Amino acid sequence: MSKTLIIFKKEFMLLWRSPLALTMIGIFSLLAGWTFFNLLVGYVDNIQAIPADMQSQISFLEEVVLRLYSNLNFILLFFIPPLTMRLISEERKQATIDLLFASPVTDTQIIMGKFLSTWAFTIVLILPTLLFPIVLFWAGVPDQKVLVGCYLGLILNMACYVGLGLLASALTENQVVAALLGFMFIMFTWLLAWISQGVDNFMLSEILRWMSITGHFENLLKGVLSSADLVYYGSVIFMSLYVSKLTLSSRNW
Amino acid sequence: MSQESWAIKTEKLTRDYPGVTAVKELDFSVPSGVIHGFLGPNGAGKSTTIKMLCGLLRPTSGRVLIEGFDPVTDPLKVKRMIGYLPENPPLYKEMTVSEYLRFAAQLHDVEKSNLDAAVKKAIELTNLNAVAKRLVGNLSKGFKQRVGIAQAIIHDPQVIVLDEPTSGLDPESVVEIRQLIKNLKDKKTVLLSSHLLHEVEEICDTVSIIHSGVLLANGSLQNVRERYRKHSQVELEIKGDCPDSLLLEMDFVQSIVREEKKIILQLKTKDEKRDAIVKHLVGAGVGVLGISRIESELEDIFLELVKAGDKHE
Repeated sequence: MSKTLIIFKKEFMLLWRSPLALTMIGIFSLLAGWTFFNLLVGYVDNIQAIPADMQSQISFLEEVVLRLYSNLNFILLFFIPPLTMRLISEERKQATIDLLFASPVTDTQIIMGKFLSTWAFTIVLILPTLLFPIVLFWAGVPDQKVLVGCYLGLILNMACYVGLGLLASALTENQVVAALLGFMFIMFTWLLAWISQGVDNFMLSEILRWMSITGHFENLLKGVLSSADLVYYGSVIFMSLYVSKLTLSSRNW
Repeated sequence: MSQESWAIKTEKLTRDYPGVTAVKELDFSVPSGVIHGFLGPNGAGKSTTIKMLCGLLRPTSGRVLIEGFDPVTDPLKVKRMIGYLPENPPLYKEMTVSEYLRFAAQLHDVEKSNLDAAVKKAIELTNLNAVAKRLVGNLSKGFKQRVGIAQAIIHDPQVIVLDEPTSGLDPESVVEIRQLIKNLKDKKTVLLSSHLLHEVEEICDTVSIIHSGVLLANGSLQNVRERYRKHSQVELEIKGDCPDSLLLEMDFVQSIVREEKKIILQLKTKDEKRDAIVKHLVGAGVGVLGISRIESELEDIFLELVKAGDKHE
């Protein structure tokens, strides 16, 4: 069995043994459900508050669907750092990393096993939200392309967030610091979009905007997946994992 | 000793940290199939050396050879040949003993068809049957240490490196773990880092002593005792009286200790001078019933070497 898969299985199993996993799924589902409910209620209130001939100007897709998945993306910002903070820092603090380092396992296999297991868990974390598309289909909003884009966007965003959280965990033995660093790294990918708006230089502004995750996520929410978006997600994931691997290997420096 | 029979060999092994050299040009070798004691006071560079042996740390210069292979150029091969128990056993508290050992076996490339047998064998060897299904986090320190040893031997390695394996254990566990280590000797080479000198004397065949990253002594216990003792001690059994003044007439006698009917002479020389002592006493009309050499305690040699090392610095 591949070492990556062995580490993946062990990490995934240990996640489910900790109270954190079920607590997170419970809280995330509650928050997601509450958000969905509020958006629906808000939409109905808005529709009822305006004349019938203007109601078509309020888009259900934009007001409910896209907002829902943008909000879920925002909520994930607070859920992923607590999941990733322990990945390397806890192993270092407990000295369990010595078992991995003393085994015929490469640093890349360690990083990949940990990344994939946590990413897989985040996918499980959003599984209960699949109830929303079912409700939406039932309510007659069957825009499958948009919904697939929304979930693909969330899944790719989560991969980036987990990669950045893993990097933060590789940088410190302190789990709280790892969580805060992870949060900052993820926030940074959002802030770049806002920073780009304040930059006068067009070229620099465009580069910063491209480096921000929000524009790429918005493309996916609209059901558009370009090669530029795929390159972006691939680059962020690769860079965060590569630097994590370098950090792990720095024990030899 | 031929080079082929060395399980572990270091050549000018050096490791620098910013501002400090933890290990300086260490040259030592461990023959195959022995239990080798690795001694040194705290901060001597033992753990740094062990980490370099196991491929956890790269040397700044020099090299390590494990069964002829360098952990820097052949890390995966060397790691398959080594079983390592760090000072703090690397245990996942949320796993059961069986799950943990299975995970360790998989990491060390134990074949799938052999996994169950390897786990069972390690559990039996370390006497963990009673706790195999329990969570590691709920075990006593003694059992945790055994689980650590079990993971070090799970893949049937040729070389086993144990860092302070009996540290903090109750006396019964200490005896059991020492016996377990002795049992490994038949087929394996064991490097045992310990600060318990009597433990090293009890179970080790060869020994290395390091201090401030420098090798002070290396060889079989007997050789180290012979080579590094500065004074001999002899035990005399005398018939009748023998005044101290008569004994002190021998200019090589440094001090005299009397224990009931026995007299222990500490000599100024490495040579035991048993012939001269007997000749002197018999010549003075004292009956000598017996005379024997007292082996130097490793502890004395260790302390003398470390003290000499400190002065040299």
